[in-house]
Amino acid sequence: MPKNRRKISGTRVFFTVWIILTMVFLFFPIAQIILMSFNTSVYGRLPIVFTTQWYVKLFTTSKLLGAAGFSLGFSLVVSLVSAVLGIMASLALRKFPTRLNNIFNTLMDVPLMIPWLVQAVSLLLLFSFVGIGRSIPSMFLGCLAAVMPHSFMLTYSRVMTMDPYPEEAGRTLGATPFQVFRDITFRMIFPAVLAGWLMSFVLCFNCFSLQYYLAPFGTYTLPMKIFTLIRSGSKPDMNALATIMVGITFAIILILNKIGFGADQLFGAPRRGEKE
Amino acid sequence: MAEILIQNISKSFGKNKVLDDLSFEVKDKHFLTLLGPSGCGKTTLLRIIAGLEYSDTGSVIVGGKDITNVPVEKRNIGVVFQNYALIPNMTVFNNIAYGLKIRKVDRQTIQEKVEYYAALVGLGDLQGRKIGQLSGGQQQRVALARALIIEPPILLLDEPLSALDRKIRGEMQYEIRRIQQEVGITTVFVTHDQEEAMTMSDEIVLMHKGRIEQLDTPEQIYNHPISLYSSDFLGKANTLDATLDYENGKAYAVGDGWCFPVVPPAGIEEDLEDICLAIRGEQIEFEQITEEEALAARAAMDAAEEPVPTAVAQIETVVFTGEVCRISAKMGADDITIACINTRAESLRPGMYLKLIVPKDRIHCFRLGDSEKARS
Repeated sequence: MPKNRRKISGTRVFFTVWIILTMVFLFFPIAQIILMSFNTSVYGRLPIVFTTQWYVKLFTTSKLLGAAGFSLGFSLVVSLVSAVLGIMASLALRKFPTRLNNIFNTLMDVPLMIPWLVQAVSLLLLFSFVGIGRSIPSMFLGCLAAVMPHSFMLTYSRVMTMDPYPEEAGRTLGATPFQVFRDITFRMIFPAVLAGWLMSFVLCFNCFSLQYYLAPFGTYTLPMKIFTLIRSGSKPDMNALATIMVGITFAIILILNKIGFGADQLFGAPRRGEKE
Repeated sequence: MAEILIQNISKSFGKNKVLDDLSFEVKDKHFLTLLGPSGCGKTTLLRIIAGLEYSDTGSVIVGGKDITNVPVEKRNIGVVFQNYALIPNMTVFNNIAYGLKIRKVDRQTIQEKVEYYAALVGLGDLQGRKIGQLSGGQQQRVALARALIIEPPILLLDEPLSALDRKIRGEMQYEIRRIQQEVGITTVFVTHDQEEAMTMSDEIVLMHKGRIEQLDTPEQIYNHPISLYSSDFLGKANTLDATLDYENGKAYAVGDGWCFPVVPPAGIEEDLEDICLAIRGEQIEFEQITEEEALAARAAMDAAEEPVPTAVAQIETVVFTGEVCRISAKMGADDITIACINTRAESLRPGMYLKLIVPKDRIHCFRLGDSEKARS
């Protein structure tokens, strides 16, 4: 071995190990669930005896699929509305005078900080007072209120940092305000809108406490269903469902990356070796 | 094609008056430049003509039609922005074609026109490229083609060259002028660069704090500035404080250790009034003299009761800048910069004495009011 080989410093080793440990911590539980979904044992006993019976059960006798479908549909609607409202609020706010703008912006930060549990209880009080109580509309409004600030924040920061001149150029070329929005503004803010929409979707899918308080009796979202099932013991068909969801998520992330919407584009995180 | 009439335009942002009752005319097919330092209101004025900003008072008339209250998208005016303002997600072709697509022009015509204007601005076969793959100069050409393709009666350019490096800027100055003349389009150009203004324009509107300081051809403004501000903004001039002295019906500007015969500024009849002179460095002639001659000239001037025309300077530095040499010298108590062709300055060294000769009509005298205005 050549003697002038660069010495590997202790710090470097430390950080490499640290990163590996972090990744293991993040991904091991997911890997575990995937493995267990193919395991015959109900209680996750090793060694793994391969089976697909849980998948069969999931698609035949399990009650999880209905709840999962409802959660998906519900989150889709909420997140789409949240994305649209986020765009509208961002564009409106851009035209506001700076002081009003700051006030509104701060107000939008508050729901991000308030625990969902508190928000859920207060919303239930409000909806009961208004007379809609626990119902699909109140669950819809509740989840929307919880996720909207996220899509707003992402879209708004893009709107405020984007170059305003292409829009003006569009106007001078004869485009109406609507045409400018359709052809120029929307395309320029699209990555942020997409990120905001994804974020709202995931958050809405997950916001158990709001759903638990606001859902009408007899309606179960997936988190609520799992919550009730898990109290009567582990059910491997949940692992099967989780595996499918992880699979879909990975597919979406891969596709987004392929069509040019990596984390750098969506969330503005810098990517190495690339300049603006 | 059309002429532009600007009538009594005023505009304030809050308490800040940006444009103060401006009126002027741009003749058909002319290239007019709005020149001034940043914050003088030139961009605001351009945006008012474009319709991106509304004036508080006054009107904008293009080709005989009052467009003051017409919204931007109905004005049909070509605008090129400082930072190109190209639509980032579109190809070069789609950027250029955008105005025509909005007008629902058929595909065949769009194709032909894009070809024509891309060739006109010298874009060649870059139409399929994405905007991010173009250099600054190429982006500016796209912006120009995009503005011209809608065949507007007038073209507005807002500092289109300031983001380019020096060499490409020179190239684009020439290109923009060529295209403007080829298309024969009335053009308003905004810049803070006096050299750019002088090379490109038929006429220059020199602006100062929201008002027109001087409107004339580049030659006229350069050679006959009407104020100290004009003389100082277009090509840096030497400015000297002096006292006006009449002797036997002739006017002299007397400074600290020098004296020039001058044409007095209009309206000053009184003796001993404070004035300010502007002299361009390259309009100063000189001949080398010995130290004895220089001292004798000073002594003669100091001894005389009446003003004796004297302009003797001692060289402090000689800076070679290529074609031109800049000589910094001390004339009496004042600093003066002389510009000459570099071969003339070859034998000159710091410490040497020069006798300066400036024709009367090359010395511009201004009342002190003007100079104070320029310095504030």
